[in-house]
Amino acid sequence: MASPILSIQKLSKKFGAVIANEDVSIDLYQGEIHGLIGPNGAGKSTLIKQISGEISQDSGKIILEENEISNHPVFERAKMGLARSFQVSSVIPNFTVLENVILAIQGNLGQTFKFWKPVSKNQELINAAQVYLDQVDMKTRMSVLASELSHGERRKLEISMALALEPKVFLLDEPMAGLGAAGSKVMTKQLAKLKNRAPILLIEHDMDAIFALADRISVLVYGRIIASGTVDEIRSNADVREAYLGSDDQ
Amino acid sequence: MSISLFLEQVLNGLQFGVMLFLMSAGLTLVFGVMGLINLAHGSLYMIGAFSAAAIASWTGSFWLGLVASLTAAAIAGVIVEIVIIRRLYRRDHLDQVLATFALILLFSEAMRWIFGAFPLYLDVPDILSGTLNLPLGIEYSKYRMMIIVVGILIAIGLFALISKTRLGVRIRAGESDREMIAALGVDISRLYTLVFALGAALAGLAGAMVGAIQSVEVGMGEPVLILAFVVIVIGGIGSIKGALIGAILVGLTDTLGRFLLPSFFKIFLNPSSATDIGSALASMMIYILMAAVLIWKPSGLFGNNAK
Amino acid sequence: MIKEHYLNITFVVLLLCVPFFGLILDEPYYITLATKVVILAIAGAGLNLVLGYGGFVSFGHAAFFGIGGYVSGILASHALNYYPIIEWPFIIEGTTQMLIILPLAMLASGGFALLIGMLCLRTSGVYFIMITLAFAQMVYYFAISWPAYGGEDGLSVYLRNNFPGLNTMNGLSFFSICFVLLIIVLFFSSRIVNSNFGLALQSAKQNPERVAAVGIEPIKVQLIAFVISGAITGLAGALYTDLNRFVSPSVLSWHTSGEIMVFVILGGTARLFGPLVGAALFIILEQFLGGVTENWQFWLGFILIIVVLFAKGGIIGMIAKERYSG
Repeated sequence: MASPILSIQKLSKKFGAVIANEDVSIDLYQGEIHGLIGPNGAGKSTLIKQISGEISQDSGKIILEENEISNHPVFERAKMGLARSFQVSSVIPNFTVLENVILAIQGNLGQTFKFWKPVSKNQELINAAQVYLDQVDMKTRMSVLASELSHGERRKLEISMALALEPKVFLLDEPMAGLGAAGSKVMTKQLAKLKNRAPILLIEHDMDAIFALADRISVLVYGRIIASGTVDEIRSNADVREAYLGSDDQ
Repeated sequence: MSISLFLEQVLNGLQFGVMLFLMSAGLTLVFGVMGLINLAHGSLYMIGAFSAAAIASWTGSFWLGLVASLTAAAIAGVIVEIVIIRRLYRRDHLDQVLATFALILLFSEAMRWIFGAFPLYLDVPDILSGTLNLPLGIEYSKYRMMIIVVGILIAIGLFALISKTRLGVRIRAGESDREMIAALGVDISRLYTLVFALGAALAGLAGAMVGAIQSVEVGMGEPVLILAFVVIVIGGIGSIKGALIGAILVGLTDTLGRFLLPSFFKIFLNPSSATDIGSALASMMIYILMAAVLIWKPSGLFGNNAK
Repeated sequence: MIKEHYLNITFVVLLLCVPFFGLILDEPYYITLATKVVILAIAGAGLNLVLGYGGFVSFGHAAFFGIGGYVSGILASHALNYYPIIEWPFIIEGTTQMLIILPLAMLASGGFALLIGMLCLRTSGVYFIMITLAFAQMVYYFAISWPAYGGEDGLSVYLRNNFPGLNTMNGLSFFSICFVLLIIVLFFSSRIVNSNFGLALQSAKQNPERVAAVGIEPIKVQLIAFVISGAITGLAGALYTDLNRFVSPSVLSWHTSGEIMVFVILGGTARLFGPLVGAALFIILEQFLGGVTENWQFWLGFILIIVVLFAKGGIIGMIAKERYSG
């Protein structure tokens, strides 16, 4: 078996006496979507923040394609190929859709420290950005201010920006959140296409989407992975059933 | 250099520190509870000093002057809070800085118009004039000693207020979660006005007490305000304990620095260069201290990264 | 609503009328006034880069203004007194050549910005404001207590610095130099703001988390902006010393920092010509209100509060079109 693109090894994080994550290990392989599910309060967002670099783990390692990124700051992990989308869409509100994607491209190419040529006249960047926008069907909206986008469009913009990073790994945090039935269908199709570019660690609450998209699933409960396996394995796992259906904090 | 001279400077440093604490306590409370940066705090200090000087010369009583300073500063605080400051709580820091900077201009010019351009004087009351005989041969000004004592008493009072009273609980709750206490039914506007007025009164008192040692003039508040900022940065925003420790640190560093550095340089430089370099370096000491603290702890000694 | 571009041209024309009338009416005072506006506009343009576009509130820009001013004053006074600045390990003499002084002033103030920027930018919000203020105060007190250059009394430079081919003692010539420099500064500012770097800087203002998530280090971008900003304001400081042939610690005071912020706000933050409009307005107020009452700053404060509470976008914000319409 080829080595994993992203390997999270025994990540642990405590806040005072509260154990947010304990010994969490997940391996993400090329060509797959690995779903991460768990009830509210399971520690999913803490885990994502550790993977992206926003908070530092107490112990454990994160390895991206042979490189250990455990102590790298957020921007460096992004440069090395970790592309993330946020649970609450995070875009640059007073710039257009096109400019948002251009920001991602220039970040990826390391072209930030250019002070002379206006962005609006940089045909190379504009063309490249349009290609990425096309992949999420947002090209027609390229001159709209990000603050004026609908919720679903903002989600698509984030995906487009993630694509623009030409990443090794996608880290997607509840991309379905806030989308209606129609929007979810569109996003599901989008994500299925995405996995051909790079493997996806998909954190989601929407069970239909997870079961439709994921190749493998890990279940996080009270900070620990209680089960990990294929869709069928997880579906029939008694512990998982109990965690979701049997426990009193539902 | 004698031990008694050194200890006298330590006492001076404490007195300076205690006065800075009075300024900083108000500032850090206002920042911690309301999230507001207030540049006009120095003006409240000035108003306190002017009121004390004016009333004292009118009635002949220093003590009435002190009372006047507390009242005038508190009233000015209440008025300013209701008319202007209130509108700034939801604004970003730039707006708060500009609006309170504008207030400085307003207050300074108003004072200049009322009292003229020349400084006023406040006399030390007879009871407190002269020196105390302390152990180790130190003779220390009674008045300055009073300032130290008053400052310590107020510090104790503030700690008691914050930790033991209902108002204190609301203040502490307000510092950690502003929206929550509103949801819990606490009358926010009254709380804010009260906190602001309390800070103002402390600043006014500081101004009045210092007014007797230095002169009372327009613009006297701003240098102290900036020092108070240094204190808060060192101590951590929102922390009274931080304000006290920061203030003492700053007071001692500044006073002892000015006292010791020129002498230190005299060891290997000629006297005039030593004085030059020594005093120049001394004037930068507290900022160097601030920079050092920040490198070690970016939120200050007792801060918690409040923004 | 007028397009910002046309507005900018109008302002420049209005500005140029002033020295023109000064020339015609033989009132050199107006030329000096216009020069002052231009110089302060340069200072404001420097601050606008970090305040308006970068979104961080520096209350210490007087430090850069003053450092630039003192570099100019020190170099010139040493040259005019034929007294080298240092003699060991090698002789460094003063100079009165503008073409040397101005870049050196920018280097010094930009360098100081780098130094304190590395420390200040690790903080944010209120801490940043207070720390920039504190560092500026540090420089202020240092200047007061360092006796070699006049201390509190300041330093006089009895001649204007030299610029090849022009008689800088002539008001109009000096104005022209300053005006050209302003246009150059505004031109470079606009290039910077609209470039890749400008996109990153303004994005970091709105959403630093997102900027990091696309692989850009926000602090590095902000630090470079801070350094450029300091250098530009330092340039203004050097010119100011030259205009007045005098520099004193008051250019380093927090009051000066506040005033520079006022120009930027009055004109409109993140508007290219905002600092020019703001500086002009400030000088006009100073002249006319100041002629009426000694306490004119009271009215300045009053106007400022009104602007802050009710007219956030400044003058340009009130009459120009939004950056993007529709």
